[in-house]
Amino acid sequence: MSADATSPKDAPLLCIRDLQIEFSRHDAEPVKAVKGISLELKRGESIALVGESGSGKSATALSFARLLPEPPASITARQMTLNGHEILEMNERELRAIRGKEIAYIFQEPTTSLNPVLTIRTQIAEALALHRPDVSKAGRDDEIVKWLDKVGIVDSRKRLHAYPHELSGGMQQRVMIAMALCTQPKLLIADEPTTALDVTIQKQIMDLLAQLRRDLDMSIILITHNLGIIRSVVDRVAVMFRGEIVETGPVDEVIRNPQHPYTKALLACVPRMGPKLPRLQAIDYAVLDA
Amino acid sequence: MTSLQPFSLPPRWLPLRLLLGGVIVALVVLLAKHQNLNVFFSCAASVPDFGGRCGSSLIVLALALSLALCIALILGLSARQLGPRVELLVAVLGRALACVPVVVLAWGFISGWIGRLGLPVESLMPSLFPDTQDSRQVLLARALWGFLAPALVLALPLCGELTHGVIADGSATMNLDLSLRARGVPTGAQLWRHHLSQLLPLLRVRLQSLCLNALVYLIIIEDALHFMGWGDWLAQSLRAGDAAGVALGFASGGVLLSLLCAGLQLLPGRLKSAGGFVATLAWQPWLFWALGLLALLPASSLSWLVLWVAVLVSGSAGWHQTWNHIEAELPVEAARVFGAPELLIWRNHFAVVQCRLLMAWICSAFAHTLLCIAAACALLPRLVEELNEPLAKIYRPLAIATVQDAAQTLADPSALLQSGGGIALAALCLIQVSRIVQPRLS
Repeated sequence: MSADATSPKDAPLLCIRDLQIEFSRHDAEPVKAVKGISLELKRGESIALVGESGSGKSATALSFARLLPEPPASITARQMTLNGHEILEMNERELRAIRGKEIAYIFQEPTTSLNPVLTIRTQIAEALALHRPDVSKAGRDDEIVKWLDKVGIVDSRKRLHAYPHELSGGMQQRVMIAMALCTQPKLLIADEPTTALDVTIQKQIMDLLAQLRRDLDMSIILITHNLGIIRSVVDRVAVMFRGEIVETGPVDEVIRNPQHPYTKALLACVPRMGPKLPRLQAIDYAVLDA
Repeated sequence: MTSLQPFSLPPRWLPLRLLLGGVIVALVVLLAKHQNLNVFFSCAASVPDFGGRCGSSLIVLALALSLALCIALILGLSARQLGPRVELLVAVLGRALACVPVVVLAWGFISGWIGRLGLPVESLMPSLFPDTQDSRQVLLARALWGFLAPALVLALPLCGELTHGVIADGSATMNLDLSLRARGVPTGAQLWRHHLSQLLPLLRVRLQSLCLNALVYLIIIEDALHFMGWGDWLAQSLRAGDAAGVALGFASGGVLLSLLCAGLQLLPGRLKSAGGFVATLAWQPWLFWALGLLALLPASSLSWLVLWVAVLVSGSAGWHQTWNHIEAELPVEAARVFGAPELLIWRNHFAVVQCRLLMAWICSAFAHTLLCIAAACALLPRLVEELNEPLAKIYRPLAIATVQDAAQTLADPSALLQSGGGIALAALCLIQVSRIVQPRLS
């Protein structure tokens, strides 16, 4: 658990080789959710995992901090390291130490991630108390205000004593981002962070993530089913289909020149402004299966 | 006679309403018996150390509630950590404990503690210490044990009901497990900080609703243990059919409830108050009042109607609020959009839910009636004769009125245990059926 001592600066932050995730079922064969994917993420680099619902992107992301309940989930890999730590060899205590500190998550629905009966201050202070011993008790409020300001919450000092229901959905997601970032993680995993928000707020949140990534020089894994929103935030994209990565590459290249039929089909589904085009396409699974 | 009915929100200013309710019912009793307020006050003055008795009972109630809450939280939250099967088992055991008639618990305690273990109960067998042993420690120990024995017995049914509450309400709170694990929050903090903080506002309401029934439990327990409290005095007044005593009991009971509920308001977390006539009416100690009225009414088989009405009224808020919630949330917009007539919507969507709710309510009302009859027979043994023979046979062992009855029960408690066990099993089965058929929205 000696974090950076074991991982030189040029070593990848996240290295996954042949990751497989299965879910056992009662009286039935286990379901293979992820079928041997490999992924490498350098420090400061960002990647989007794109795919339809059920393609295994969320299961993959949750497995990085072993957040899937085991059993029924079973995670195997030839290698699965985060900042030099072999994730699959860690016990629960070691995992708790890296969760929130080295790898932070933002989930889809902020209303189900924030405790409704505790104030924003209490919840962010808990994260600081757990993972930032350098911040003194007396200095916690200032630190919280700093991060709330950073994620664009106006009147942040007043908001400290607000309860989650007193904030809008977009504001709650900003609080979640502040809570995830205040511990200064090396890797932020945003699991469809804008799905539950309306379109204008989606844009604001994506812009915020892009800006924070530049300012804090951290790595981001963005999980989404929407290829249209990733360009400003990530460097690379990995397209997942039925538990496998079918295409990966720089985001502009994949969007401009998709190689795999599924990526082409996924891009064809994105509605575009401009001259009237033929009917919006649906994915033809018969072609993909052939 | 449990709070195992659906959760209901209390009306605003509950302590004040309870106080006023007690005073109003006391006045009604005095008016109905053509007695004036002087009789009421002279009755209060004639009871030796009435204030002290009320204070003792308040301490017993507060102790029992605190004990029950602590044990229920430990049991409920530990069960939550051990998984859904253990949770289910603990919840059923909690309900089973809540279904045991309180008189059985009280006499079971006396029989086990004194009869089997040979240990003392200060209120039943005050120990005579030599004059030299009057140190503060000895006095404190005697006083503490004096309060602790009734509090422990009272904590048993309350603990059963609260354990059910901790588990039932726990499933209604927001599941933050994934988010908290992702933030590296330790398991203990997940449970005690995040789960408990969501649970406490709900438990506060549960505790307040428990207080309404705890008053009746307290009378039975203090009577059995001869504890010098408000309940022991009221049990004697009820048996004597003393109208002024019953009126004083109603008024002082209102004060006790009001104080307890006001104390419980100090627990953290606030829930929206319920408006409307039903909540106002139901959040009163109807079972306590019904027992008082039964003591004053002439013996008749119709007097059971009073008890039954009390059961129905006391549970009405929970069922009413459950139905209102289901009616508001039932997804019938699609049917309305395609123009289905209201009758068709009712037949296809509401009728089944209403039937299930009606069945659940009937089962629950039957279960609570069984337990209320047990409480009534324990306090007013003459009522056993008003039951039909098969029922009288079941309930007779619970009516321990004389010293001979008590001696017989202590010598051979099997009749009491069989009777109590049978009633508890029947009530538990009915409550379980009620819970199974009760419709729920996910």
